[in-house]
Amino acid sequence: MTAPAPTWAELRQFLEADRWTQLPPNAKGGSQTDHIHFEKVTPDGLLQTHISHASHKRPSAGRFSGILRYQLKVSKKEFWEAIRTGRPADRPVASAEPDPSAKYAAWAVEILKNKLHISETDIHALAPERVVELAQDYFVRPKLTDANR
Amino acid sequence: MTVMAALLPGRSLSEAKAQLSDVMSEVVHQHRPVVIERHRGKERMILWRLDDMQSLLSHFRFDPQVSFEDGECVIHLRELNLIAGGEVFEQALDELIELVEQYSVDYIARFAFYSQTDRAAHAPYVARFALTEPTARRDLFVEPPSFVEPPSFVQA
Repeated sequence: MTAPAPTWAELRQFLEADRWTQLPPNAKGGSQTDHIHFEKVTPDGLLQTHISHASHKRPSAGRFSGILRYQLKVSKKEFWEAIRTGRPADRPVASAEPDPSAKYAAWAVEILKNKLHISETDIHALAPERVVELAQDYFVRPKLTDANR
Repeated sequence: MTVMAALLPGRSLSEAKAQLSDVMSEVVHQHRPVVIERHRGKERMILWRLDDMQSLLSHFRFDPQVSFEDGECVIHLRELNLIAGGEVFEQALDELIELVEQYSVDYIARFAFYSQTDRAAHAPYVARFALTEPTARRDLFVEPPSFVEPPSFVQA
């Protein structure tokens, strides 16, 4: 069973332990946003992430994996260790957090969902390559016109 | 005359100010970018017709990747390294658009900073998003790659 993702409050705890800087609200397009943005300059580049104001809620496990891998650039183990010790994570980490979830091209999901009216549950049951094939078929199949209707 | 000015129509700032209407006509009606210089070419800027610039940037295609897990739809936009989520695809896409808007505002406001980082390559994507009408921005994230665009006889 997959361990639950942390709450947004725990993500904030990590960012504070790892010495991220909170960006002022107006730096990211006004004060009425649903997100709080952070950044950290490392020798390998500029890292940025955001958390939700809903501090008691959690992102899904898949979203958390993506945040770790692509934005925080730490593994799960280092994430929890930084919270436990209150000290910054060591970077670069030995191995990136895996991101095992299937990835579908957004343009193809859009076609299947909104043109072919296939539910997200049914799309998720398909392989990503099949989703692209079906979306491509949508473009090449003859369109009904008044002449051939 | 600088090399750049020899390739592109150029004006000094004082000339451009005196002939601003003609300069704009050249850029807009004749589709000719104009370089404007001051301090003997030490400072330069370029004027470019908006839709020509949009066309120039159209090759910077966004290719968001969608995953479904634990009742959440998650979208990763690799081009700007943003991650959005929602209960369904549309919600996640709405959040992504909001995040890209916020990122673009910050990127443009701190352009000199970003251009010194590993995010310098984000600039054309931010420019493409910023130069797209707000009502058309959603389309940027569901744009099919050119190899699947329908041939013209199908569209007719």
